[in-house]
Amino acid sequence: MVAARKPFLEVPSATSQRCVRDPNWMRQNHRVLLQQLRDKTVRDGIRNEVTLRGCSQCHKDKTQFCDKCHQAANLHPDCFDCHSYSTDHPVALLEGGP
Amino acid sequence: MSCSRRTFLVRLGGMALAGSLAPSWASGFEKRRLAMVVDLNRCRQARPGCDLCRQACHSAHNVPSIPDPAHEIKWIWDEEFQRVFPTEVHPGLPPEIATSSVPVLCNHCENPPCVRVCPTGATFVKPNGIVGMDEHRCIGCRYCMPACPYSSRSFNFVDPRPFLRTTNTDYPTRTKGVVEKCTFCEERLASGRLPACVEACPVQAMTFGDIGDPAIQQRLASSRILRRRPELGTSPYVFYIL
Amino acid sequence: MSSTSSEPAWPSGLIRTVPVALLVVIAGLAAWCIQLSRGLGITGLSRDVSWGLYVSQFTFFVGVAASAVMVVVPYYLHDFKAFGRLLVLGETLAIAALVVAGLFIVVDLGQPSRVLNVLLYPSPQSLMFWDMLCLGGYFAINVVLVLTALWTEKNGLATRRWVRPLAYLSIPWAVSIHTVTAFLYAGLPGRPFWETAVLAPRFLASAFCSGPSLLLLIVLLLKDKPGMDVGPDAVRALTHIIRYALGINLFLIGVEVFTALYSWLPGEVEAWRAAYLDPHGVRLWMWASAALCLIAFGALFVPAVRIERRYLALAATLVFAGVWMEKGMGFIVGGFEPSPLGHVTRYSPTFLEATISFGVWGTGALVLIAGIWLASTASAAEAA
Repeated sequence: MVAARKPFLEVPSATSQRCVRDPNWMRQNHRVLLQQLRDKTVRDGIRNEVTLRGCSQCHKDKTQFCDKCHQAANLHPDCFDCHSYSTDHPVALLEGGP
Repeated sequence: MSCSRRTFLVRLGGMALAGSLAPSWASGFEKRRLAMVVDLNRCRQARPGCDLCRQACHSAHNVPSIPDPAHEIKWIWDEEFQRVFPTEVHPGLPPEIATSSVPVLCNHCENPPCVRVCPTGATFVKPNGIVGMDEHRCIGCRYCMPACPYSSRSFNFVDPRPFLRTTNTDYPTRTKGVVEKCTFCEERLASGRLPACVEACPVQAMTFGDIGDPAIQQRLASSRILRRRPELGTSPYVFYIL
Repeated sequence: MSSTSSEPAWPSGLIRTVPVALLVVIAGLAAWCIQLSRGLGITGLSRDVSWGLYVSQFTFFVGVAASAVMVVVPYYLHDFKAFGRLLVLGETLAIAALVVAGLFIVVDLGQPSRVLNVLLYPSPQSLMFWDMLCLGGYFAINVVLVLTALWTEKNGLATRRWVRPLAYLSIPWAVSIHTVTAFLYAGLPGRPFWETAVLAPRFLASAFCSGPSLLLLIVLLLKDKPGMDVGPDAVRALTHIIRYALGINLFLIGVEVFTALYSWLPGEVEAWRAAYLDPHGVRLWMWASAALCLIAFGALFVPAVRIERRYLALAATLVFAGVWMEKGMGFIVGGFEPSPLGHVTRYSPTFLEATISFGVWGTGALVLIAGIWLASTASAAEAA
């Protein structure tokens, strides 16, 4: 991973919400987490879990969040070929959605 | 710094357990056998060329409008009665019925040939009867397309995004190389709403719900009911009132 | 199988085709890159005709691969020693045909990078899953048989004892690969053109005349090259096989047409009517195939054709072309005409689609040439 003295990713805006996991865990496992949640939503119909929308409530700008590390590591996840990161409409944090 | 693999799996398992204990109302119409009834008499009363079910569905689900008919994608659309129900055509059938428009869509069969042939399980049957589509797993082999006896499935021959008139950011698009079809608006069912086409119909021609619902049962009992190609054994769950 | 020291062991005429084949393969690769970038919209496929040239070629060449059994059975089960020199060539052709078939599947996929999903998420109710396993196994069997045969010949050793049981295994396996491929089509309730119990026998019959025809053509073309003379008995036996298989194939097609038309079942009638009469369908391919196959069938009974090498090669070409037209172009696309809602949509391959296909055929040709080269060096090494 990238070692930097100053924050590499955008620090999320201060809210009363906490992330589902701490940053170190997320750095290692967010891919598997997203895949597991994806399969639960698509195949099992379980939607009241963490969603991409939830992430974007705090980490508002994808280019300062997802893209920063992916570009640095030359990774090209194809999630955003189909999914949009944020929405025009306000959503509650834990509601079903893409 | 990082948790061990074992710890991670235990935590994920805990999350899965928590998720499975979620109240069933939160996921909408679970554990029911969903069905749709289309009243063709009412449908014919709409203004000629009424297309509102298709428009509602396609805009809600980011279905592209591709001008080349070879590459078009459609989840619900109109076909002529005599093409949809060729066995119902007889010399006494009024021509205005024979040429009338019938909305056709995925029938969410009880015995779906598309699910049988899919080599990856990308299309699959859910407990509530919906034939689901997992575009993440689809390898684009298109075996499900000749398997479907109703022409209900579309393939993304090109990248659909340039052909989206509007984008609903609450729903994903698809990408080139995967198959897609009607999903009975599962994401809307999850929040207690009806499918987009059912809501949009100006003459309330469509009824949707569990097959045991009194509203559905009453419609199915009271009229001449058609299913598409029943002799094929697929047991479709979209019923048409003649 | 001997060669004099002054003549090259390597069929020199054949080596001139290698640069051509390489160019074709490179062009095909470039065209495939375009398809990967732009999607399958660059082909002539459509929502109603979702399978075309790629899948039809896959089907046809699985048949060619299965036809190696027509050499294996007489040699191993009936002690027909005249096929001895044909064995390795037949199995090499099977390997090349399987490479072609597999590549056609890869270029047909919308998301080829996900192809391993078939193994990661096994779906035993899907015939495509079993097809992958069957073809993979048959490929492995033939590679082992060919490499072992070449290695033992090169080193002047006796045939390995375990080759015989493996060859026995390849016999039902060859039948199974093409049966499973037929089951891909014959189990679909909505496609009356395909939905027939006689499809697997039809596939096998057409395979057993088209594969040996290609084999015979190769043998006749390379006859004068050192080490490639398989002998007149083998040629005669191959011709017999082609004749019988072609006859059965034509008979089975006739049976199909009768059953469809005499029953007057609407789905059947519409499908066969579209196949032979609809201007937007595949009628040109169907009629051309019928003509070529009937002419070839008649020609194969004429003594002059069987004796004269040129005419025999021509007859073999006619059989191969005729079956290719019916099974390759007519049958698959014909299953989509009309669509379940009664629409007949014209399909014709685009330039890029054809370029990719040529690239795949070129790859198969290179595999075959490599196999022939290995066989000739092995026999030269044995003679030396």
